[in-house]
Amino acid sequence: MRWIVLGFLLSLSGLVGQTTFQEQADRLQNINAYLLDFRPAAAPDVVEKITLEGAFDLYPQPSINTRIGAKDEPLDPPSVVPKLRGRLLLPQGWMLGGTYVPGIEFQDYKADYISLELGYRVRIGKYDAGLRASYADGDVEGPITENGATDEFTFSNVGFDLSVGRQFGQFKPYLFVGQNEIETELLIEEDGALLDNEDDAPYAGLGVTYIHGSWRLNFEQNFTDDYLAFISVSAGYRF
Amino acid sequence: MYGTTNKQVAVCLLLLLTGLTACSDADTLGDEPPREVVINGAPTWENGIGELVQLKCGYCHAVPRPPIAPENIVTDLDLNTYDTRIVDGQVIRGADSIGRWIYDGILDQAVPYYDDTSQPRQMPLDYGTPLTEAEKGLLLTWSEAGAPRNAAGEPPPGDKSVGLGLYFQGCDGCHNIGDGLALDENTVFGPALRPAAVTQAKIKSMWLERINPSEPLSDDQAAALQAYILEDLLPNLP
Repeated sequence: MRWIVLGFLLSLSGLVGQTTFQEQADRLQNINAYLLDFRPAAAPDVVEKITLEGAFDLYPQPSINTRIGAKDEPLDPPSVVPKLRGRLLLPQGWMLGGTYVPGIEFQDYKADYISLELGYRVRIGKYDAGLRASYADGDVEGPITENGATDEFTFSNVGFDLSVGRQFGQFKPYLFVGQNEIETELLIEEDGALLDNEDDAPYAGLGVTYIHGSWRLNFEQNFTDDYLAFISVSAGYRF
Repeated sequence: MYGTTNKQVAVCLLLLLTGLTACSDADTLGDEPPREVVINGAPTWENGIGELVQLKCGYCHAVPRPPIAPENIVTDLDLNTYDTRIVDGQVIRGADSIGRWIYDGILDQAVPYYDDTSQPRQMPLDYGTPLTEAEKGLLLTWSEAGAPRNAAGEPPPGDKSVGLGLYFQGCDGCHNIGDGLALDENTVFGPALRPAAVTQAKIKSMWLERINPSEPLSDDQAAALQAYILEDLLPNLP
């Protein structure tokens, strides 16, 4: 009897890893969209006067296996994605931020990107808590499926997250949890095929902000669902 | 002083924890093997082949053309059903029409053999869900057996004399030249008839697709045509 049970479990474990081209294509689109999501990238903060913050974010990209079916897609993303971010912090706790990157060209790709965020922060004892909504939208044109082709990948992300942080001297560690919804499309030039995809996934992370006068240095670890982890590092200045 | 030290230790621990957990990884499923359909017993459309063909072929070969499919895909082939049929006045080929392609090797290479609306490529396409070697073997076995719907076997043969008339009405124009008439390297009319593939379902399918879609064959007519081909025509070929 136990051999039957063992055989059943082994057969189940064999099935778990099997996949289809659609699942692989959807996963690749998910990963590339979530990597461009607009995450907190800073500890929640409550300010006493109107404050403008400019920051330079760097998102090192994880290694991506681009195999779909029996084909390795020639997708060759940059190893680091930079973003210039601005945030307006109001004494009442409101926060408005965004990035806009028109027409970046790298290698054989061209990318447009915009993201916005709206948040509200509140101080609870020694803790700062923040509720934030974010939106990111963009497209990447280039040889995604064939060298020399101009394929087009478009994405739009909507996210909501809750973050909590507490300051210890010059350091402010924080945690956040959230939920993302994405819509993506990949238009393949050679075949004229359109792969569209919708997905939602929980995300979470932790980070720490180092505060030195008007300067802010930030490190953040992100986790999306159970298949994507990435980090970001930021340098910001408050005016 | 003591409290400050505790805070510094806490911060150091948090920083250490953050540093230790720093990771960057993306599981794309690129390393996962393809899903495999396992069939017990003789493969038929109703015993596994239907599931296999829908899983590995039907996501593109559907009517109307799904957005995921290439723009130049044949638009009259639906591999989510077995029967060739007429929909809104157009003949839509079903999986009963693909046995010959498998038999001619389209799972291993392009088969530019028959006149068709597009240049057939090796299937599945390189980015599609791959067939495993076991699945290719099942499809070839199914094709060699005449791509049957189920294990019930063929209905009784019909009236050969009726079949003779139908054959010269619809089939002889192409299937009278041995291995067929090669118009060019990509177009051959009337390939040799393979006895195992002369099923009543296939006859009805080919009649709709190539001969007279406005007058589909009845079951009796298909049985008569099959009887003539298998019992009189093929045994007496030179």
